[in-house]
Amino acid sequence: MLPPSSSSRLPLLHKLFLDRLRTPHATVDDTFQAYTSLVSRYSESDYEQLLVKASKAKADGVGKWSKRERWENQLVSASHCSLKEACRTG
Amino acid sequence: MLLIALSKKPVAQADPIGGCRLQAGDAQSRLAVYPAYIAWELKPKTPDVVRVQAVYARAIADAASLGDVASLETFWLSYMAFLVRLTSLSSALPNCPFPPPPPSIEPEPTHREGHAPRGLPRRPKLPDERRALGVVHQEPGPSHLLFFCPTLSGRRTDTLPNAVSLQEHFFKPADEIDAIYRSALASQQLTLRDSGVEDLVKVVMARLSHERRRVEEAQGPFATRAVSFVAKAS
Repeated sequence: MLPPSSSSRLPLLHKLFLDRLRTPHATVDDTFQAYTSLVSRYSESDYEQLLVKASKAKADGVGKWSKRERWENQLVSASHCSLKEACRTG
Repeated sequence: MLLIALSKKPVAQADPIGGCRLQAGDAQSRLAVYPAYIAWELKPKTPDVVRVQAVYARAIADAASLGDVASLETFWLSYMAFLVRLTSLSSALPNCPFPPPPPSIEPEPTHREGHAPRGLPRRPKLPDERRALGVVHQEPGPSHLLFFCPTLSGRRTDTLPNAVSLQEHFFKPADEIDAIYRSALASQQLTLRDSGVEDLVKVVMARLSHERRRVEEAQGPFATRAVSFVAKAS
């Protein structure tokens, strides 16, 4: 159970998690897992309602991410290529 | 066996990120990806503005980290042109500060009960009221738009006295920003694959401000060059 001072910050935490889930990123599953743990621990009474919202937010983020993944992969592979070259030469 | 083989490798090969320093080729090869990425983001009829801005920010940060001034300037000017186009097309325009109406056209205020007496500041007129009075609507020029409309920046620019103080407001060096910038340089976190994207946004924005200040010191204000760039393009 959270102390009253921390409980008042829970809504903000929910909002931050939902915003994060809507943002495309590679580790969206980890974020969702972390949010599930948070909800089950501190907001068990609203578990289903909050998880439905989170699932929608996650779907939004995953949709955006899947469209951009190839570009992100290109950026990452460009970095890795250069790193390999750097290691070889230096 | 694999573990033994790995342990015999030099540290740099076993742990390339820890063992090797990033070299110029790193950002250079990434820079080649950004124009296509940005073009793809801009392709839809209604682009996702936040994502476009994020990609521009990362491109500028990469160009800055490499010290590739030509790419940095290209990305910046392209970003400025995007912002100008965005603000001139979107609903942000009515919220932008209007230049003061010409005094010769505005009728003298009539003094009736309930109106502000002479000498006190009057409420600024709304666009509809100004049109009704026959005041010619003057759209803010590119130099106004370049200093970010309130809907873009989340700030009301009309509370600030003029463009000069706006510029100072946005590019004021701060210890916090410098600290974030230094940590960004140390961590080299520049992809969405890294964790903590919210922190990354702050980092990238700090980089942008830092690099922009640096280049402005050397080559003059971006706004001036961006206005001429947009004028040439249009």
